[in-house]
Amino acid sequence: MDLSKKTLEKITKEKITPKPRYTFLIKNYLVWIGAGLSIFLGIQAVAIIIHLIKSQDWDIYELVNNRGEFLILSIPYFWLISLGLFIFIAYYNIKHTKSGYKYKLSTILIAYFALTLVLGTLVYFIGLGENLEDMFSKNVPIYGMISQHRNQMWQHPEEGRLVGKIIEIKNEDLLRVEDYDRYKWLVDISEIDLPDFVKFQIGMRLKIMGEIMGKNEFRAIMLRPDLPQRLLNKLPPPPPPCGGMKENNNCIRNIN
Amino acid sequence: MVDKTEETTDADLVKLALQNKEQFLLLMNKYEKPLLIYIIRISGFNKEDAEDVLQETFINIYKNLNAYDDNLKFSSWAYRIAHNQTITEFRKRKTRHYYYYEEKDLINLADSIIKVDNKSISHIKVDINQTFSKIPAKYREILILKFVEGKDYKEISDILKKPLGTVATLINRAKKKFQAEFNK
Repeated sequence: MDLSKKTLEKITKEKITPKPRYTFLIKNYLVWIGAGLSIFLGIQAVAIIIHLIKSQDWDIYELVNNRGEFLILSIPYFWLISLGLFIFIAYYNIKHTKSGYKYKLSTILIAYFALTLVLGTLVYFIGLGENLEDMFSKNVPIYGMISQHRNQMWQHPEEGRLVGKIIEIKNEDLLRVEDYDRYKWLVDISEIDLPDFVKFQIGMRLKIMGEIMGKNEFRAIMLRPDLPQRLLNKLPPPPPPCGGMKENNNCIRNIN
Repeated sequence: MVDKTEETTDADLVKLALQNKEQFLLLMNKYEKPLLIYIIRISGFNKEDAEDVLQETFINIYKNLNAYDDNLKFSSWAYRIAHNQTITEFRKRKTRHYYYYEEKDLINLADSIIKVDNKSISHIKVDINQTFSKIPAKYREILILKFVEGKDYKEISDILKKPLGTVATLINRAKKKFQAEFNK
């Protein structure tokens, strides 16, 4: 008996049947959904990355002693790693579609980057990038902890940068601020010309530039609220650091 | 049963086989010989072992008939399943394999890769066979598909599930590897 007939007998004897069509359809839909989802998430990640880079405090870049550290802390690692993961998932799923094998890794990567970059930029300009980042910060505790590293560049009182929240308003010139390391500072804001609309409140988070004047005493020459970019955009521009008096990137201050 | 393979396409035969398993015999009859030879060529199995692999291949084809997409040539799809089944079996068995090719296969290969005239082929037949046994499986498989089975780039791409550009690169590398190994 020839092999084909023997095979047909085996199929009959062992009651082998073709797998139902819907199992292949479901598998096909699942890989496309996986690919689509990873592209969608990649678009969100790109929008957030653009937002995080643009909302960095670039205006203090020239005033920072360690610019390398500033740049390293400005990199949105969490979202870059997430984007890498989304790319991998997209690649894996596209490769497992019926015709996915026809595309090279480089073609898939270029197409993925082009699509996520264009649509991610669009999403950023709509303002969703910031909303998403804000949503993650508030609702995902681990992400909140990870994203804190961006504020580390402000946690250098010895270099004239301080970040923390107001825990006491002693008078119109003195604030008690607790930094991220739980140190309490008495911050002198008497040299700053604050616009009338500024009203300090307990719990308000501030980014302060200035210098240490004594044990736990800090004199502010510039401060800004530590707020999301969309709220900062609504504020009038802050007065320039050092009141505009600057020489060789150092503030010239008249200390009497 | 009437032999309908001449007037019906493979896609039609797939539809018929899905309605009645007896009709699957038409597809098996059509592809039994070429697939058996292909399995032997890429694996070096003896005829009995290759027939076992082919039987499993046919059963896999039958089980997955509903996955067949008629945008693809049925032969490419069948070769792909045969290829994958052979690789699976090849990995399971640890025995030493000897690759045997008919003289016309060697002429095709030698003519395409090492530019040897037909008269000399018989003298270097053993060398060619040994060279073929020594080169990595991925190169051996692609050379067989291209120069022995006579498949075009698109068919090879569909069988090996690799992009067209990768197929072209692999063929070039395989030819160079073959030439280098042959000239040793």
